Amino acid sequence: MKVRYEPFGAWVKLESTPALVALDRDGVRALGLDGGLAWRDDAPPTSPIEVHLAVTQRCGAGCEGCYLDARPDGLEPPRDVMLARLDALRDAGVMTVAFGGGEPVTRDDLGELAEEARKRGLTPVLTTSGLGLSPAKVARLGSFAQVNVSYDGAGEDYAAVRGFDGTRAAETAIGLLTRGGIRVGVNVVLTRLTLPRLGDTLRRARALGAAEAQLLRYKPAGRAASLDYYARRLTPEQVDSFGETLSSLTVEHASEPRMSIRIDCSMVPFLSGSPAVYDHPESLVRAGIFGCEGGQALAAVKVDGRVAPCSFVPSTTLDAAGLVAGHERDADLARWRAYPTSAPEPCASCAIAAVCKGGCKAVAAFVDGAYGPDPECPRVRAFRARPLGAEAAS
Amino acid sequence: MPDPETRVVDPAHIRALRVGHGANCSSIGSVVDTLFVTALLGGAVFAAVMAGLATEKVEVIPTPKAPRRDDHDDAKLDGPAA
Repeated sequence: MKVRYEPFGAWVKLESTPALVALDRDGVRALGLDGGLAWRDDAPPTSPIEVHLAVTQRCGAGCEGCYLDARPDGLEPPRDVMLARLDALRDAGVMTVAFGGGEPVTRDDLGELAEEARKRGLTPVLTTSGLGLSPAKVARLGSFAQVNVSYDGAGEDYAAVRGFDGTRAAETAIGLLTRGGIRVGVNVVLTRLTLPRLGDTLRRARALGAAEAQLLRYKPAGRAASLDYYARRLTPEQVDSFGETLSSLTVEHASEPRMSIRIDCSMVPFLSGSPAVYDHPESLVRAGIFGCEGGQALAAVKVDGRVAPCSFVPSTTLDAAGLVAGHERDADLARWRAYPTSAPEPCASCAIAAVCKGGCKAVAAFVDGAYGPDPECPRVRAFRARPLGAEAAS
Repeated sequence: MPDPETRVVDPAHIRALRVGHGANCSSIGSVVDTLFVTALLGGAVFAAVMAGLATEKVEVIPTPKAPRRDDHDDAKLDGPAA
């Protein structure tokens, strides 16, 4: 197991089972360890535990909603540059590195980069559309702990999200990877048109061999930062019932062969519409749910090497090479870290604010023009819809 | 450092348990299985985690504030300077 000290105790990444455990200080002491300097009151904030690393900007898919605006002639850093970035992540104490792009499988050295990540003690994972993934390429991806294939549904559902039908490539990739002995997940972007058929999509993915389904909120970044966003985002009714949807899906897929259901950080505010969750915020903490972790547990290293709070927002001026010291000092990252402690209403009084941390800043920035409360959160919607004067009267 | 045979972490000291690797490259994900079907899955997952905590070799990730130590490096077993 790998242990990384934190002010609360330590994050422990197990090897025998894919899990990350937050131990309090006494738990760490039971391992025979002591956090020392990391446990002092004046200890600096720690580095991200997970970094999303763009290994290329090249992609020929041309998805309408690409959050990076990836293109066939995009920038692709040479191998030595990528190795230096992996060095920087290792030195910062990062645990998991998620390779993305562009389309990462366009790199001939992708498997070698994963091996190099392993040598540095990092756990490499990968996201791909499946386009261009051949049996020969799959044979070189064995160092990845998991590969997620973008799979928004079959046929028209895939096309509704990405503008073309990539179903065949995605389903072929899931099969190739599964037969290659690689744990496979699917990334499912949810829009108002595709959510009603999410059950069918997940059943099909599971039948193809997926062990995990990552549900993703459609986000207004890159080519998706357009008016079209408003026609694709989930409806308020879909958001309000999202907790029930999740509950139903997790129960359905809990039997063997089990498929885990995962939600992205931007969907945590949707859970405020679920009394079963909202009334028991401690359950979110125990389950290790992460809301907006930009500037904290999460960072993105974009293809030019600049660090960002997450992949959907503009980069800071910090270069990956300076992550060790810069993560604490960078003003933008510090601002993101500070947001949850000074968030305005209705976040300030929200029971799950400590986990949610204000929701998706990328959505807030696009819809409201500022990094504020997530405008699509059920509580935020209700707060903004209250009668004029209600705040003064309360 | 406690012998791996006798190392015991009280479950009460587990603040949070994040299951799975995840492999998304754009936003950080969290498995919600144990949030909604605790009774069905929680026990098996928890048992695996407790076994891992009890038996796996310990490696401390070096940070600028905490030098690397591991089970096989007796010279470094003292805690980092407080």
